[in-house]
Order: sequence, then C-alpha cells, then structure tokens
Amino acid sequence: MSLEALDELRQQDWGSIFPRLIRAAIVIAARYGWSPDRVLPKGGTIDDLVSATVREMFEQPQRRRSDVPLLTQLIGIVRQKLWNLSQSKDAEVCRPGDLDPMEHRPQHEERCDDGDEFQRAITLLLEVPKVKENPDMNLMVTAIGTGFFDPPEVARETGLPIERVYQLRRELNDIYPRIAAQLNEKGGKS
Amino acid sequence: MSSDDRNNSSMDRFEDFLLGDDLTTDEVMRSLRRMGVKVDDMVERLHGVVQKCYSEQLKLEVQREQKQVTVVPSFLAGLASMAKEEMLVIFEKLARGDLGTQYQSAALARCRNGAPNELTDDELRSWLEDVGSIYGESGK
Repeated sequence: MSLEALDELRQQDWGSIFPRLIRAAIVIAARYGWSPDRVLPKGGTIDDLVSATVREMFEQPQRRRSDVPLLTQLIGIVRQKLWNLSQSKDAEVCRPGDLDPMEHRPQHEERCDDGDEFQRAITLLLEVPKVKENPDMNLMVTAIGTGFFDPPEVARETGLPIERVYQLRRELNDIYPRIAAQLNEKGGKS
Repeated sequence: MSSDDRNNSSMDRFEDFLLGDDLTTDEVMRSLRRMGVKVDDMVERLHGVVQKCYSEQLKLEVQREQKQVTVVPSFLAGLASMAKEEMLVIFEKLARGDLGTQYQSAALARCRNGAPNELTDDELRSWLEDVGSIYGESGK
C-alpha cells in the first residue's frame, strides 16, 4: 500500500462507518441465528469479526475499490465472512456456558435455501404484533415480501409517503434481528 | 448454493433495504444501544484497530521503501565512460520502476518533457547524475 493510500484510508470517517458496519454485521448475522452476545462458530464474536474486516482492508489494499463506497465494501466483506462461518463444520450456535458444545445444529445451508428463508422471514415479521397491528407497517412488509426493496418502489407500491417508509424502516430495524434469530428455530427444512 | 449464487439474493436485498442509510450516526448508535449492543465500547475498540493497523502498515511501508533504497544497484558506476545506448537502458529501467519508485517518478517526469533518446549524451549523463545525487547515489 502506498503511503498516500494508507493515509487516505486512515482519514476515512470511521466514526460514521463503525456504527453502520456494526449494525450491518448484526443484521446479517441474525440471519444465521447469531446475536451480538453470542460466540460465533470458530470462537469469535461479532466485535472480532468487524475488527478483522477493518484489519483486512488495511492489510489487503488491493481489495479496495475506488468506485464503491468504503462502507459498502466493508459490509460485503462482513457478509462473506459470515457466510463462510455458516458453512464451516462447527457452524453451531454457542453461548458461553449455556449450550452444550457437542449439541448438533444443522448447518445453515442444510436448513433452508435463500427463497424459503426470505419468505419465512416475511411470514414471521407479519406475525409480530408491531407489524400485524400497524396497517402501514403491514403494507410495507407485504410489499417487501413481493420483491420491492427500494424505498421509492415500496412507497409507490403501498401508496405510503416516502418519509413514512423511511420511518417504518427504522422501526423494522429494531424488530428484525429478534425475528431473524427465529429463522433457525422455526420452519426449517431439517 | 455458492457464495456467488447468493449475490443479490432476496435475503441480501432485504438486508440492504434494512441497512439503507437515512439515519444519522447518532440515530444508528441509539438504535444499537436499544438492542443492548455495547456500541460505544465497540466503536472505541475499532478506532484502536484502525490506529494499530495504520501504524503497522506505515512501519512496513517505510521498511519496504528503505529496503528498496538500500538495494538499488549503483547504476551510476562507470557513467562517465558509458555509451548512450547503455544510458538509455538504465533510463528504461528507471522508468519501469525496476530500481525504485522514487527514480520512476523522476524518469516519467523527464519523459513528459521530451523523449530521452532525443537528449545528447552529455544531457542524458547529466540527468542521470542529477537523479542519482538527489536520491543518494554518489555515482561514477
């Protein structure tokens, strides 16, 4: 890495990047049933995984792309790392002290494929009182379930003002990790 | 299903929707705290990681540059009696960066001011001497 590139990386707005990267890691890890207070397969934590991602960016500057925002790239690395962990032989959920490490948990891939997983996530969300009893939220989650992922698209599809969609998305962010953790407990293939 | 197959899968797109960036940093922090995440501690540790990585990589880079300088062959040896063709060969090596990036920048700057083979023997010799002295080569 040239000194200029190294300096440029150091001068990134890490204060803004870190919370967003942590949030991304938590949201993505939730898909595999891993919450922030749990030990990931192979023994690390989400904290460790985010640190390793940042370290990797410094140590492998060739991965840096000037045409993609740094946060987007870092989230991509986090997503890849979590995917790799989900495929590892010891991809079982462990919480220090309260789970038998020998207990078998089927690997993520054995349990579901992506389409099933997504539809199950939507079904679970629609059962949550905060979604079920809120007509706007219900509309938005239903729209997402039918394949609308951009806020303007969701707004058009549901007739909700775009600001309302953003507001609901914030609320959904608080709800989703807890629901995602259930993806591995309810309705899997195994 | 491979990792590649998963690119832009419905789950990925749903997660990207959730992670959409309309929140301020403070709002993201508050949202994480509400989830029970010790985000302040994590962020502090991560700042430490950046500082540590920066220091480590900076050290490595300086070591690399120093090594590069110390291993640069004495390309100026015998310059006084060199034919133009030999000097042009050295110039090409410099321009390719074979002898270090510091020489490469100087050679490329020279090229922007005119093709080196258009220089007279003395001009080319003088240029090589100058470049050598700037970067520490004693020459001759």
